[in-house]
Amino acid sequence: MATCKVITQHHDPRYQTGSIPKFHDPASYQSLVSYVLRDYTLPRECVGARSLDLNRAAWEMEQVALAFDKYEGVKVRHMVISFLGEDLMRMGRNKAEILEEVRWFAEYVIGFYGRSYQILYGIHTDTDHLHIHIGMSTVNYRTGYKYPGTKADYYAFQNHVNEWTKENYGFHVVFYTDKILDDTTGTDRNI
Amino acid sequence: MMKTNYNGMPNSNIYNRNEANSTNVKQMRSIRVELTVEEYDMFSKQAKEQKISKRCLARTRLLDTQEGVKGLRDRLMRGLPGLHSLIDQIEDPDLQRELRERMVTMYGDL
Repeated sequence: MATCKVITQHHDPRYQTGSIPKFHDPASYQSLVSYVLRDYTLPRECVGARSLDLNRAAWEMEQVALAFDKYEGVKVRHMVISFLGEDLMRMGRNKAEILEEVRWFAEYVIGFYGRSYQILYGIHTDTDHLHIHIGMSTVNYRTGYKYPGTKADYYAFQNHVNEWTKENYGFHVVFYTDKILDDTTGTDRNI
Repeated sequence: MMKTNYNGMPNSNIYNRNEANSTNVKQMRSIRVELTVEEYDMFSKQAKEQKISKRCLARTRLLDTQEGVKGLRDRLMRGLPGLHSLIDQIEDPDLQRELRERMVTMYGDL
C-alpha cells in the first residue's frame, strides 16, 4: 500500500506554537526546492518539473508570486508519495525498471497540477522506502489566483493518482495529511 | 570541483539563499482612486460580475496598468511559466536546453 502525505505542519521541535506557520516564510521556496532536489545533487533521471526551469526553480516560483502580488500566506505545497517493497515489486523486476516506472508515475502525477501551477518532483532512493517528493507553488500562473485547497480538488487529485496505480500496478494510494486533530475539540493542533 | 546544474552548466547564483528575506513582513500600500457616481456604479457592477471584491479589482487594475521596469518585469514573469510549459512540450532535449538557456539571458539581468 503506497501512501501520499501532504505536509502542512512543522515537525521540528524548535518551532513553538505561535511561530510562523509552515510554508509562510519567504525562504520556503528555496528550502523546499533544495529539499526536493537534495541540494541539486539528485541525478537528472530522478528529477522533473512542469512550467519551471529546474536550475532556477525557487527563484522562478518566487518571482511569479511577486508578479501576481500573491506573496502572502502559504507559499508552497509539499507532498510525499511513499512506496512499500511489495508495491515496487509490482512496478518492475529490477532496480532500473522500477526507477523508470516510478519516474513515469511521477510525471503522470505532476501532470494534474502542471497545467496551472509550477511544480517539480524528486525521487529519493536513499531510504528503505523509495519515495517521491513533490513541491508546488500555490500561485496559479494562468489565473493569478492562489491554490484553493478545496475538498473537490483534493478528491480529484486522489482519483487522478489512483486511476493510474489501479490500472497499471493494481494497488491504491492512501492519502492523508500530517495535521493532528485535537481529540476533544476537533480543532487543529500544531505539533 | 565546480558544482553544475541539470544542464551541465555552472550553478547559477541568480537566487542566493543567504540573501533571502527571512522576515515575514507584510508590505502595506494604499490605493486612492477618485471616481464619479456613474464610474463607481460601473466599477461595482464589474466587481460583482467577476465575483471579486472592489478592493481586489482595484488592485488588479493597478497591477495591469503598471509602467516602467517593474511593470515590464511583472508581465514577463507572469508569462514565464507559460513559456516553460510550451518548451516542456518539445520532444528534442537539446532544443529544450538551448531555449531554456536563451530564456535565462532574456530575464537574467532583471
